[in-house]
Amino acid sequence: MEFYKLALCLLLCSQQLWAASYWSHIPEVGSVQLTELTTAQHQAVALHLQLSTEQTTEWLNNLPALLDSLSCATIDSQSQPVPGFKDASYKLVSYAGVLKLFTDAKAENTLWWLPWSLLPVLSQLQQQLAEMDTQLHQPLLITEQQLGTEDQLIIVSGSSVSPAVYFALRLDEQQRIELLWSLDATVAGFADLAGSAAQPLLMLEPREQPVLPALSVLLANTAQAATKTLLYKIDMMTGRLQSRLAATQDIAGLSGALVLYDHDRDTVSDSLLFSTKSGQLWQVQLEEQQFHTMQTVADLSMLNLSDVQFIRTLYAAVPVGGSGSDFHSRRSQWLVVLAALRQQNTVLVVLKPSSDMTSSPPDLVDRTLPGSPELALLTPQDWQHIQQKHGWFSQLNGRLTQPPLVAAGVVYLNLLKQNPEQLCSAEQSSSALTALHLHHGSAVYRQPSLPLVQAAGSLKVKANEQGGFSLIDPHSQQVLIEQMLEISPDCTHCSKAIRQDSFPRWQLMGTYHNEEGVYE
Amino acid sequence: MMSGSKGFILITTLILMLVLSCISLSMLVQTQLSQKLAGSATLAFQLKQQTQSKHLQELKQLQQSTAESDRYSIGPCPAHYAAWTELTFRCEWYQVQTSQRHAQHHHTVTSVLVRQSLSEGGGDGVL
Repeated sequence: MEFYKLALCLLLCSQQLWAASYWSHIPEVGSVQLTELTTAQHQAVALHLQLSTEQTTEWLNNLPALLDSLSCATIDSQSQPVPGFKDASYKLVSYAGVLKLFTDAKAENTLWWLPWSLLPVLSQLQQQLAEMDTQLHQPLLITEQQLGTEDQLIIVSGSSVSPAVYFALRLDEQQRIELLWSLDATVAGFADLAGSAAQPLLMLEPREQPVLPALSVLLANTAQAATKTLLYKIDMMTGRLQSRLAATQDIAGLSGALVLYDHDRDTVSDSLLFSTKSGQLWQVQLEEQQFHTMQTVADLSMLNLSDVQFIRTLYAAVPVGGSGSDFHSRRSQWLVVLAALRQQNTVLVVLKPSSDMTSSPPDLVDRTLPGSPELALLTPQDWQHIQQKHGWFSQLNGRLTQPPLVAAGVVYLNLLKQNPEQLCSAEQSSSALTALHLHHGSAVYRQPSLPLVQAAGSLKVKANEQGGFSLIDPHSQQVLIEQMLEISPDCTHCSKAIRQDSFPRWQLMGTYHNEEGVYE
Repeated sequence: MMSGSKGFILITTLILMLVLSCISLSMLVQTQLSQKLAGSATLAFQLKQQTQSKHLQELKQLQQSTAESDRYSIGPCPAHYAAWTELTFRCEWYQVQTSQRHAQHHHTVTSVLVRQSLSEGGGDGVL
């Protein structure tokens, strides 16, 4: 008898441990666990789903199976680590609006967040996930360091299924989820909001010390048709609209990729780069909470892009002529690194923005790696072209799962090639890590593309025991590159291992002499 | 007649002596001045050298010392050929000033340096 009791207890306990929790937010009620609804809440769900009470019970019983079928291992490779939540192994992924907090450790339970507006259209998400030529943007995570409040985490995300919704959730140390705000076209000021979820972007506005910077979130309006509003700037905690960027020109079909950068390098972000899905790149200034002076940066539509995945900026010393290590042959300038989808493959563009690109399309050098590595030769003519023209692009096989990482002049790209028949199957897809030279797109390592057994998540630089640095995937602890290389300006293909003992590095920026007074 | 010519010779001699003494005196002053001038240049050069060597020593000490100096500010990194993502690479800007004074002469050397360090694990996939 005791044995049966023990077995029953074990069974129940293990079920409790392994069970997933399903959360949503019922308007005027608050956050609820869909498995623990009261009668009134059950009725509210039934009304929202337009189902009878019995059908709703059945729907709720089928929910785990429905969400299991929605789970997609290839999208999970886009997940981001959730610092400060329960334990370090938790990751967050958005399936076009449905959030999943999960871990590879089986003993831990998965936490699902289902936006209220998505409940009736959950079955449509599958179709959204199958669209290979668009980017499913992942949520913005705001950590306790950024918030200045311990044991709290804020997630800003949106839904990629119509109607367009953005929402912010607060997670506390007891893993309670609270909806901070939710925005859709019915909210005052957001009447134009449409399209799929863009990448929410955090903006810190410095204030007088010791007060922490004010946090705002920038959201792109990705409506397909021409719209009155292109961007929204909202208060992170309340969702209150702070300013809007009105469309002065006929711009439609914005991609969800945005980036903030400090154009004048005074440590305060002052410019925002955004793009249309076809690759028209725009810049707008941000000053005192207001958008102003929007101008075109470049038009990359000749590359036939279907969506832009990531836009990043990088300040670098760009070679502009000469071949030696002569300092004067380089110019310090901002580079735009743009990763875009062309159907299901990636095009990486490294652009040197200049004023003459605004009137005509940029002149880019095709630096796509050839099939056989021995053909990948950089001729002096190519090198001269790259230096004189507006940058280069490279077509890559597969789609990027994470934003590109630039380390010591090498662009590291995580690529995933899915099987169109079985999009979500990790076994049927192939992953690779590609490393390209920042200035001319050639392969830096002996092997241009490194096949990976398991799709890598975010990339991290880690000091190794040999005195160098390794590139790792912190989640799987997979060492991707044993010894990282650093490009050198001594010659076009020169590279050397990065050594730990070469840090810290000192650079003398200038010396000034001042003499005053006279002798008697 | 004789006494008149004697007076003339005396006056001429006295004038000549006066002229000669004026010339020699001015030459003496000039020599002294040029010596002073020459010396000041040497002194200025010595002071400059002293300041510079002291400055170089201070730079060396700063670069070798493991102790953090409070005279720095964190700012954007200068552009590099082998560029890094801002989050991975951390730059501290130092200003080293060395001053030396000798009499009324004042010489100052100011250098601006950037200490670049790699914050391990900072590159979590973002540029």
